[in-house]
Parts: sequence; structure tokens; C-alpha cells
Amino acid sequence: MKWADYPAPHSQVATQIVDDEAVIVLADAGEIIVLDPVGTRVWELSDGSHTVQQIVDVIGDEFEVTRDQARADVAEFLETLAREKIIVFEESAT
Amino acid sequence: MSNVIELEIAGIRAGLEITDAALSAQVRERYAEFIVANGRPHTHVRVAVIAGARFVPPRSGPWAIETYRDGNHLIYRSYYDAAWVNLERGYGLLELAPESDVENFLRVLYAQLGLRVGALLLHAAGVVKDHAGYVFFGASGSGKTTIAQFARELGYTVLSDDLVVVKKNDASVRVFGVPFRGGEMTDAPRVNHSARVAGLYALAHAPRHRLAALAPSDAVARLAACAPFVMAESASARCVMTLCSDLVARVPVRELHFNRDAGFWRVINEMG
Repeated sequence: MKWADYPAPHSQVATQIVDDEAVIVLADAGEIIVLDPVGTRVWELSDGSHTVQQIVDVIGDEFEVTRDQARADVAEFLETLAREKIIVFEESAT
Repeated sequence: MSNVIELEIAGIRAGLEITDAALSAQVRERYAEFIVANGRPHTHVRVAVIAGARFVPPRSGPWAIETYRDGNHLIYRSYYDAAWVNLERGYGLLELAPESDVENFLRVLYAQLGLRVGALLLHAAGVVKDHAGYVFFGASGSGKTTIAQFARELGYTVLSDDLVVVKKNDASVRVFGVPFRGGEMTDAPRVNHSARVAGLYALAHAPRHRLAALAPSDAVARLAACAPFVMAESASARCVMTLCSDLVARVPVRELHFNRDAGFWRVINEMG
């Protein structure tokens, strides 16, 4: 993952936002996960039109955490989503 | 007598065109409660019985059912039967060996047809009590059959111990009986009956009975996890998620902790 990458939903994923929480189906794995509000916001921004850095900036502003904390948390979270095949990293906006 | 047997489940009509006399007789007997006449089926499936037909190679583990959507086509394969159905145009072909039957195909077909009309085939026990429908959903071993057995002992109408259809319409959400049985309650009914849903209950074993609130997101996730055959590819899964979200907005969904006796009805009644 690079800060200039554009996270985007993996093709196997179906999602629904319910009361500010994302319910995500991993069709290939047959798993369903629910994200907390911060994770949901990161997920919403991972739409292929925002870079990782832009997502960090939004999370830092909206949840009032330091940029260093936001960078660490967002990076770890996005890497986890990518490992679970929930997102992919694109080199350009989609 | 026509070769076409028309079934109506949860208001969804499908016609099976069967020329094989033995299979036709079996279908007419097994699904008698759900056969309608002079209808206009949404979907017409020609059924061909082929001696020696084999599709999925034998393997260990749960009974193999491979199903997915390819555009407008529903694809279905198991050991002794396989089918394709054009869901948009409403026609298809089921091929099966003489030792097979149409049950698994019908389950898959109705799961997909349901999504097109706001109906969810759900792994759940369905009970009608005082004209109200109660839906207890969960995976195998969660207690669906136990719930159904207690309900029957109390004189309530049991729609199913394993599968029901939950369907929304403009005014309400209704639960429908289906002709599909689970493996545990061998004398389970095939009741063609429906009722307005009073509540949806996610089953959980516990030392004592209680109802717990479920966050809407958890409720959607728990419901979607109990929708068979439609979560393995993202297009159908999206439909399921949208439908589950709509159901959660319309009907109370709670977690029912129960300890395998009929006392759980008390906490449901107290909740109103």
C-alpha cells in the first residue's frame, strides 16, 4: 500500500450501511462482518476516488485525532481490509 | 392432465413441465398444498429425466449444491441434477437422474425468484400464534426444530421447522410456509399459510430465557447469514442486504436466548 493509492471495494463484496455501520458480505468466503462507525467512514471513503492520504486527512478531521494516529490507524485498517479481500488498492482513481 | 405443474409459494408461481410419469406423481403428492391451477407462472421450467445423469463429481462433506448467477441466468448443479433458468425471461431447463428429485432445485429457484419480489427464503422456524407470525432464525443446531416442536405441543400453527419465506409488501411483512422440510423434524408440516410478522428472533442458547436488543447492523448481518443459496456472489448478496435492511426497519428483530423449554414464549409475550 502506498499513500497515493486509491482503495476501492473488491468485486466479491456486497455492502449495506445500516445506522452508520457498514454490513459487509464477503461472497467468496461466505462471511459477513460489521464495521464500527470509524471503520464504516474509512470504508465509505474507500470508493476508488480518494487516496489513502486523503482518507487519513478526513479521519483526522472528523474524529479529532492527530495525523500520526490517523495515519497509523487508517493504514493498519486498510491493510487488514486488503488482506481480507474487502478492498483493493488502485494506482489511479476509478 | 397437463404436463405442467404450477406451484405457488409466497405468491410466487413457477411451473414445472414434467413428462416423466413417476416424477410427476411424486411432485403432485409432495407439493399438493402448493399446487395451483390456471395460473400464469412467473417462471416455466422444463424438467428432463435422464438415466445415468451425473453432474457434480461425488465428494465427502455436506451435500454439494453449486449455484450462482451469470447475468440473468441462474445456474444450479448438484450430483444428480443440474439446471439453468433465465430469471428475466422466465424459462429454464432442469435435467436430473431418475433417482433424484426437484426439491433442492426448487429451494434454489425460489431463493432467487424471491429476491426479485422482496421475499427472502430464510433458515428459520415459522410459527403462527393468535394470527401473528413469529420467525425464529439461526444456523443448524440453533434450536429451530426445538422451537417448532414446542409450538406444536402448545397447539400453535407451525409453518416450518427449517425454512420460511419472509416477504415485504406495502403495508406489512408476512411470513409464508414453504413445502421444504428440514432433516430433523421428519413429520414437519408443509403448510401453505401466511401471517403478518410480529417479530423476528435470532436464536441463541442460554441458561435462561431473555430477549436482547440487536443493533440494526447486527440484525441485518444475522438475517443475511441465514439466507441460503444467495450469498455466494455479490449481485445477489447486495439484493439480500437491501432486503434485510428493509425488513429490519419494518419489523422488530431481537436475539432470543432460550434454554430449550417452552418458557421462552413468556418473554416474547411480555415484550408484546
